[in-house]
Amino acid sequence: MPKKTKSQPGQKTKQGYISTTFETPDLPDYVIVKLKYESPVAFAATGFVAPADAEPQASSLNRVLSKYDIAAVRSHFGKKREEVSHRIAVARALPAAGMAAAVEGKGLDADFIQSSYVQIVPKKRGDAPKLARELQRQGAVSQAYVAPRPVPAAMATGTSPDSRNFEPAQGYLHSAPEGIGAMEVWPLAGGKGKGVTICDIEGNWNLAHEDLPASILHIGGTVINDIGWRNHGTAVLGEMVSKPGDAGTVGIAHQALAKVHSAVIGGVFNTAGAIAGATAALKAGDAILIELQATGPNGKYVAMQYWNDIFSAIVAATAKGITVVEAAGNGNENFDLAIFNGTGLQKDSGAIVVGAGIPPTNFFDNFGFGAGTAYTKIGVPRSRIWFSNYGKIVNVHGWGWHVTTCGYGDAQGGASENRWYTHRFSGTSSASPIVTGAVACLQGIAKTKGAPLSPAKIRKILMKTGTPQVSGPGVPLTQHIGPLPNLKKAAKLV
Amino acid sequence: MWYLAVATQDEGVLSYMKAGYTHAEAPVELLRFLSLKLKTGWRFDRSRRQFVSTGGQRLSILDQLPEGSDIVATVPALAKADPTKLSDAERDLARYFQLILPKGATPEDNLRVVKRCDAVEEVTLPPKVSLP
Repeated sequence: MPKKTKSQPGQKTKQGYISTTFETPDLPDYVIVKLKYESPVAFAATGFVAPADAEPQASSLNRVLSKYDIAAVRSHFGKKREEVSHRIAVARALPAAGMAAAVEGKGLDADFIQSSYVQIVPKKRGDAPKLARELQRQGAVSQAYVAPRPVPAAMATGTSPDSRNFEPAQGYLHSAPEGIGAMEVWPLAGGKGKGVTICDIEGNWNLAHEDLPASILHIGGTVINDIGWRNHGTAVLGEMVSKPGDAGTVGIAHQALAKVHSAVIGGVFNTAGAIAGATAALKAGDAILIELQATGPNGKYVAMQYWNDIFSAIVAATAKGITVVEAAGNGNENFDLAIFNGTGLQKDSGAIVVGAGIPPTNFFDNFGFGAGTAYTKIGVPRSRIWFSNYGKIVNVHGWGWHVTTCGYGDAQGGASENRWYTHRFSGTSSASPIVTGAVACLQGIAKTKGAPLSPAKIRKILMKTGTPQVSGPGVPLTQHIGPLPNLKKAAKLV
Repeated sequence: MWYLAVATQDEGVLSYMKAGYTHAEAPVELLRFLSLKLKTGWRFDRSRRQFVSTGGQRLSILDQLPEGSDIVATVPALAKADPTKLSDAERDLARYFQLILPKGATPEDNLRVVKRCDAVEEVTLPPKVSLP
């Protein structure tokens, strides 16, 4: 009897959000192998066969299979073995390796194409990814991958056949005091960030997302192959540079160029190395965003400049005229505590350190999702949100709750990650791109007028002209996160 | 009212943030290194895999560490650069190196060896990085 797994309504899964209850039968995972068209290999009862001159290709595949407990090898299109026997003769008549793409579009018959697809079912579900990786390295294999596990298309909230327009939900673009007034500076020359490059440092991004510009360059580091990291980077980019238009979102500085640099270098985290790499690729007037936090001495998350090498890398970047924006972190930590005396959390690195504030009560949706209640109840707008770090070095804040942007799929889901949007990007993660976008708008205006502002000057302007932080129950002004940028006022000082 | 709302939200909201919404921990295999800063006047000779002082003194720690350990500059371009052409911050950054440990080795177990080395001014465990 098949085992049933049951989802809960409003549940976040590794893949995305689930808004309805459904049951998934316990089907086995299996690997789909697409043989190269020109490889004269075909499946047999327990493995692969080939004529004598291509025997090494079949043997190599069979050696891989012999390492696993295989339940079945069969045609992916349900063909019998005798029906695919002709593929060997056809394959031998095809051009040499490397021509698969060329011949694919030239009227090969459907039977032959389907004969290239083989299902391999391991007895142990956990073997499928390893088996797929090993098969992918085989010379006779064009592609090998674990078959997707389909779920009902209606599962994700907001799924739409065509991407919807989420711009009305991007309250952070609106005028102060609710938003940062991005829309008010867009009509100014350079006010959309033209001529400015932003480099986001974290771990992964979906650069194929439909609402991100194709020009985004990955300039260094190795991505972390995890959907949580990928959604995060996608959401960050969406806030800053997503494309204007009738669908999706629009970035605060949507005429700025974006680059990305992973903090993983040489197989380990090297945030300082990533900052230095980004610095080398940028020029004065550009911006670096550090979208990372790490566990500090109290066991709570702190800003990355706590570590000395990272502090030095930030100082070196700002000395070159590059504005560094840094998430303060979500540790509910007070950076002014004695334990941080003499550390980077009580010194000026030159970065703009960003806390998370509570957004206004409008632009809210709930869709029945999650354990929380409406954010109208979580605190006073522009007061410190309870998880945000705070202290004298925290310069400004951004919306730290329910920011609408690309990724995650709760606002619009569906089969393709490239069309996912969220209404719920949160934390100092969502706050920092708001400030980085504001920096790019101001630097675009400054460049149009002649020269970019120094990082110190731009920070001073944002702090001086921003809409002040307010207190709330349990979150007094002494828990400093600074003001929310107000670009309309700030642009007058550029 | 506000306190009550925060208190009741806190657990639920943080739990789903930690479940992966805005939060993701670093894979542990990316944290098998120690960050070390050399004392002024010391450099790392990559070909001989030793620390070398301006006075010619040579020190090695790799022979006391698990096989497969390696030492690399945190910013290789700065480590190779002419120090007179670097800013103060860059010169400081050029003194940082990463001791990368082989799979299975833990930074904590190897901290003491690095701390004892006379060429090293400071050594820290890797920051446990996550997404904010």
